Amino acid sequence: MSKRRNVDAEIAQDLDRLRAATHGIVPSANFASRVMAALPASSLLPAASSKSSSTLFAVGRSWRVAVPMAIGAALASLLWARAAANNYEIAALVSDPVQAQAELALGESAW
Amino acid sequence: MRMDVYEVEDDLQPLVARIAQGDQAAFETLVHATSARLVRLSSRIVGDLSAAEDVVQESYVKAYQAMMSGKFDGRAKVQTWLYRIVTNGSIDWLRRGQVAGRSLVPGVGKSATGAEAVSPEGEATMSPFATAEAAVAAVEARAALAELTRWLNQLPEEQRVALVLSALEGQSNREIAALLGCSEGAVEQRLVRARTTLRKLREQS
Repeated sequence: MSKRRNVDAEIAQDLDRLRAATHGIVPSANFASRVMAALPASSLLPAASSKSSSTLFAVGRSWRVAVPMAIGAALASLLWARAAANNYEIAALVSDPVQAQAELALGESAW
Repeated sequence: MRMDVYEVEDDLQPLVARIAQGDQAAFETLVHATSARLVRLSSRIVGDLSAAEDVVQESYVKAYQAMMSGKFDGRAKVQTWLYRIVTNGSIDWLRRGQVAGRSLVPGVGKSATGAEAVSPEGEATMSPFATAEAAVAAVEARAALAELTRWLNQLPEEQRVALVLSALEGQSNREIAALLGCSEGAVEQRLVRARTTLRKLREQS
């Protein structure tokens, strides 16, 4: 038992000695440059742009979703523009019918 | 005795956000601040400085890609995260059974003092050592690493890694369990087996 304890103590001492000795390990002088040279060129893009592109990609991942969404958005903006124009016409006619008619006439001639 | 797991006390977390924005200088700062610690860790596990540098380089590339793609959000301490990547990379290296390409014998590939080394292309490179004492310590460290490797080569990989993390890196069983993804009981068992193996070998010799 005593012999076994001695062996264990020797092992512990040796490990401690090796721990202390290997503490002096240092990388090569050019190690940092080597690491920097090894970085892939494709990953040099800023994260913000890659993130936004990945978000866009995620949204538009399926054209079955992306195309109807785009058509829907275009139709919605057309309808909104038309409604806004109608509202302008109606509001103008209510506030100053004569002036509004003149402006509408000017707008039509510009087209 | 409980050693600090990480020598770098500076807060490196602000670098993470800068790296994610593509700031290479920030990544280089991170490499300078952590590489000595990580190369030492890997050297102790794989038993070879050249192989350790390869493992750490590969780990940095993986870490950089993860930061750039937003996979590392900076909630964990960046040193802890790198330590884990390098530990796993070193274990992978052992499993692949790669053969070291450079001699472990001190003085081979370096001048006696390490003051100047000559690359295979014949170009002189600046010494990483600030003083002659540091150069001597590095040479002694390489010799100790060779001795350590002779010891550890007699252990199965799982026991070897557990022993290095415990006896040389000063990690607790709990920390080792977290690093290796196993239970604390499994770590304890590996350490007991490693010490038993070493005891038997010593008794035989």
